[in-house]
Amino acid sequence: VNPRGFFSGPLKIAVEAAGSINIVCVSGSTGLPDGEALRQKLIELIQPQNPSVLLDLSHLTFINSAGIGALVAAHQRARAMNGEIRAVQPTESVARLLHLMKIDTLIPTHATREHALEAFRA
Amino acid sequence: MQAPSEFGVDTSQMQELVVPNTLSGAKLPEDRIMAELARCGYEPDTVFAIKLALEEAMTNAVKHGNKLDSCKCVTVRYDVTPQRVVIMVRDQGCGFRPEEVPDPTAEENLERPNGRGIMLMQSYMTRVQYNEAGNEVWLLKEREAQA
Repeated sequence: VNPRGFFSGPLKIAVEAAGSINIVCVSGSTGLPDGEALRQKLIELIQPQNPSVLLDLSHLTFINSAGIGALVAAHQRARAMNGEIRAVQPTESVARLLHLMKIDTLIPTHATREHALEAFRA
Repeated sequence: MQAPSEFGVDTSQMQELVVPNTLSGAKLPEDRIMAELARCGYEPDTVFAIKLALEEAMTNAVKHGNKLDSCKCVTVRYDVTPQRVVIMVRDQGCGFRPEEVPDPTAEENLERPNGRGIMLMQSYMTRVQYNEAGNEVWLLKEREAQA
């Protein structure tokens, strides 16, 4: 792995649906100045008819405070619409950062998509 | 501008870049420093830490220090050796007192949109120090010994 490129890949956001849940695959790096793009995409996706989002972070190699701010904004919008945000398989570096900042207390993380989808239904 | 003595760097030997006061302008020093880290073979975890701290320092300088004023600029100095990395970021604002920034992990602050940058820098760097005015931050990352 070339760390220079590994942490600087372009931010990519792909959306798929699992019933009423939007699964958002965030990959690459949420570095400067991508936090706002991520925030806008998540806010746009969270609508009253489908307020819950599963974030697949298994290919997200880097996140900074702006990216965290985007996740928090999504959490707040989802909650206001009686939805919730969950995350699945964050990479080790991203998981450590989310835990350090206690974001995993707002956005629960799961080992697999199946576990996360079960939690939405619970 | 003088490096804190604990950082063990000769300020006159540091590379200097002056960039426009935009988040995209902040990419130039990042690219240069990332190239130096690659040249020295730094490990991925350390690269992650340095990229994170640098982006937080640049964001603070552009947004909070220079208040997004396009007439202002940000000065970055850096020195990368195989043993350690020293970075200085200075804005043209009037500074702040980092000790007055609330703990972003306190329950009442968890949902604040910002205010996490200082804690991230402090958590991921070996040492973080501000000048007295509070408009210049020094970051030191020492390389961990490899087994």
